[in-house]
Amino acid sequence: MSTQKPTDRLKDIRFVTAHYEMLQGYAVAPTMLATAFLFTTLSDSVSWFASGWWTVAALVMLGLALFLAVPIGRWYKRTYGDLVPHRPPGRWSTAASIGLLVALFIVRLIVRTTSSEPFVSPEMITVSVAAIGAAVFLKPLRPAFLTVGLVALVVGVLPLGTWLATGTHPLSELELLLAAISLGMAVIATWSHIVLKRTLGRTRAAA
Amino acid sequence: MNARNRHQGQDDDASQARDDATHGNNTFGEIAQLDKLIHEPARLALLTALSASESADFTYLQRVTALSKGNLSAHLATLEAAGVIEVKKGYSGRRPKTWVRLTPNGRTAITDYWETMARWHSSLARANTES
Repeated sequence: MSTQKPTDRLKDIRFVTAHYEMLQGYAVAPTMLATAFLFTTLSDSVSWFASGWWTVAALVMLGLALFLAVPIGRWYKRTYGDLVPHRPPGRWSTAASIGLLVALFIVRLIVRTTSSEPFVSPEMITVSVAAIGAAVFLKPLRPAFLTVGLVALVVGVLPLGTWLATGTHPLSELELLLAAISLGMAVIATWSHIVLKRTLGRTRAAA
Repeated sequence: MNARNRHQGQDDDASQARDDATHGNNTFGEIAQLDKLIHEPARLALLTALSASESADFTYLQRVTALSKGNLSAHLATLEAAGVIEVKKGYSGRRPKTWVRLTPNGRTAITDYWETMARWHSSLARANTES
């Protein structure tokens, strides 16, 4: 039995309709997972993937994921229907991504100009602040953004550099930071699909 | 009675209620002002989806409302007859496809509806605070 209030249902309909393409998570999640794997193989800190063949395998996976995104997009149109959005999709997400990259660049610049090496990862803490900020504005995606933000915060403040005796926090390394961001985006994309399915996947009997 | 006449009748009721509300300044008048054509739950869900996009296809609207094809067609016909939406039938490859969009009048009607609801909601909240 559904306990959702009618006004909440209308808010969900409005949100899903306005962000329909962005919420087609299964089209994005494989690409994000393959990207996370690719950046991990490029990292100097992870010795398991030292061989160049891992990078080649990751590139093949990324190509496959990008190729799969087209039929998955068609499946969404066939299953949930199609619409023409008001504005070109992704304007806000592009602006937010650029904002995050600028913030990360500024944080890295500040860290490099200070003499001491921080035990925590200021870059990961910046990512967590951005994710928690997004959770405030995007209510239906709040559980995913909050989870990603809190996990990023915990991992970012743990003194992993000291524990692993590497000096620098591993997530302050660019490749691993980008891998972690891609992994977080894969989680958010999966949750986006759940939101889409919950709003548009009701059967007549459940309506 | 066809859909257009039915909507005309609803317009007359709404107009009468609007006059009552103006002179009597009561909440019931405000409630009666709500366009009954829009206030029906399935049609409200349809118009909410259409107001958040330029246009949507039949499958998407069926998913939003969880109505059967026949029921959805009937609601769309009612809204089209009232001049709230525009329905265009075409093909996507070999498959027939129906696109639906709000008319400028429809967009105004749904905006007015939400404004009336918001006004009503805030006046009720004010009344609760005062009592």
